[in-house]
Amino acid sequence: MNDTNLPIVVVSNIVKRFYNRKPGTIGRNSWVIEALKGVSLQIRRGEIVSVVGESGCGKSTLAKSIALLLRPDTGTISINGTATNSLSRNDLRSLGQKIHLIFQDPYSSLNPRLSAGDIIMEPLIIQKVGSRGDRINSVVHALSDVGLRPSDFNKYPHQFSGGQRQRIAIARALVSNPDLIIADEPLSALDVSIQSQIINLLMDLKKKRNLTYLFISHDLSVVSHVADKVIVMYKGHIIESGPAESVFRTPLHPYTNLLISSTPELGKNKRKLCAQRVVDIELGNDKNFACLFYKHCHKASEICHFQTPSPDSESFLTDEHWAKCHFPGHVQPKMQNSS
Amino acid sequence: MDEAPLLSIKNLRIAFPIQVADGYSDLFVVNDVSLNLGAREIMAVVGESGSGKTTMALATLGLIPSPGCIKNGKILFNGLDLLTLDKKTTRHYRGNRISIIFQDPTTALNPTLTVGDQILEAYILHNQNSYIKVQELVIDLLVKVGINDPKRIFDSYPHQLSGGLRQRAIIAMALICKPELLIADEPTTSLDTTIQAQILDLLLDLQEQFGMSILFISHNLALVSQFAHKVAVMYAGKIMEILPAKDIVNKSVHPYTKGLLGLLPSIETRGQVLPSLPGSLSEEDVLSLGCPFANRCPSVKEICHVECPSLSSPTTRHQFACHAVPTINELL
Repeated sequence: MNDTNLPIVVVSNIVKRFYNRKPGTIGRNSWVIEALKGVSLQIRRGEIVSVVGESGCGKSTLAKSIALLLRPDTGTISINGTATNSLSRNDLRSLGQKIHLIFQDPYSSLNPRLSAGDIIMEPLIIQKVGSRGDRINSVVHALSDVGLRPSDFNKYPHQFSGGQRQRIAIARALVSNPDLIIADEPLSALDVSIQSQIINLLMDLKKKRNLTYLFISHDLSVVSHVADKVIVMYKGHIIESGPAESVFRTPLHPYTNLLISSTPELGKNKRKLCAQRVVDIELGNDKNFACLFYKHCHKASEICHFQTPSPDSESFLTDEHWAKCHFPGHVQPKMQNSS
Repeated sequence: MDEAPLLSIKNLRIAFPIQVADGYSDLFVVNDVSLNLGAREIMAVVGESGSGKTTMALATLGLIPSPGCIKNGKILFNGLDLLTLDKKTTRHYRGNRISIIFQDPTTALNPTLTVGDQILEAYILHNQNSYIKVQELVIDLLVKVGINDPKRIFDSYPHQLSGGLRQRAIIAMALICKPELLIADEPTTSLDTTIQAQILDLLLDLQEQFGMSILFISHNLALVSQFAHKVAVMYAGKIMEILPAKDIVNKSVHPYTKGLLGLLPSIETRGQVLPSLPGSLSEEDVLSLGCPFANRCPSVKEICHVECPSLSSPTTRHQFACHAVPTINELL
């Protein structure tokens, strides 16, 4: 029904701050963490958009904002063309029903007191869909879609293995036919052999039901397999964005390069290969530099200190693929060449 | 190669009691495992959760959790059987000549002590020395594990540090007594990929500097294939295959190893359905009399359900346990 080119989600320039009281003080002495510093993105129907980055880069905050669980401080999020800023709680809730989440840890994301069937049925009850008979039918249908048996309906979570639990979580996300499924590290708690089963399941369901995923992960090998579009985040900014093939084959930003080179790959002795791997990525204090990656970047030059790189400089590879960097890809700073 | 190995595990069996219909029965979490680790060698033990890799490592330190017990087997360290030692002597070895790095840096440190004091504690326990001298030693070591301002870290509490820094502190704690054998139990699993790469670089540097052996436990085959000398693949308490890490892509023969290799996603596999091993590791596999992998194996034979294959060795460097693999002669 919907136009395929119309994006399901449009996020424009959102900022989300978290306030914390200074330890040992009362009142307004708060310090602020800016988890998202002006993030914009679009998710189109049938696309798998993947957000990668290390812990603390804001990828989960972004996911929660899109799932309408957090309100951004500034900027707008539109779902199916409806801007969410001015909506009331009730309207938000009905809009949010079109978005479902799959969480990281299938051991803590399922209620141990409910049977698998009840867990999967819960969204339908909350949304008041159909009669009880209809609901049971859709649950059984969802169970078979994710590769479980109808007889699993009455079993409790502890009777399932980790992989099967994640299948239940997926079934719960599927059952109300959502427009968008947000998967927050859905594979990282699973063993490798189970991981590939779940990847195949997610891809298979996507094909069958024309689903749209926002796939959050720090495992680049998984992302390179599944994603259509990759968004690389670093300290609350999107620093590179583009089609997966293009990002993985020709990364533009030095940070993306670092991420890719530190991902283990079978049989390749990559040890010490990344000469640009800078010591102690976690130690730097980046507040004083225009480019957040300045301290860790092997290309850092004077301009990076003073001018914030923006994607409208020459940092485009194609229309779709860009990075926030003064010296993207193979471009080398002139300073370094002369010295 | 001819030297006596530093650590030699022989026919180790570790059982945990489980409840069955009539009373209790033994579940062999580690079942007839034998392996040799030479001096200055890095051996990786790879397996899914529940394959017994951690239990095996804990046995080396005499730390098997309570209901479990070692049924038979030997653990020889420099020719001495660690299992015959009394508690006091075991304590002399543990943390001093054999030490361990645990998986989760957030829980491995004591939140009520400063990082420096914890590292120091490990040293004082095994060596008589003055506090001031040891403090210098710790600060030197903190520099070696790649910490820029060791004085500040020495006086910090664990919650003030990031995951990567904590893991560095734990590595320092494990190395303070200059152990001959370091057991690394998934030391990088809970870290980001960039930090993981840094920590691995560091461990390998230190391994060369200190000349120690590392038993590296991991579930990530791609990761260990980058640096280990030998890889042992475990499944349901049994060793399926041991081979040099450089051969793992081309020369591995066991269906489980091959299965694991095939199902890793990458940029090359885009748009394809990943090959997968059906099912998952279950208790029945561990209890089975036959090959524990039989239920999931693509090339399963009748004999696999009845008789457990033993570890055979076409060469001393490459061993595997499988009925379905062509005979040893054909392989050579």
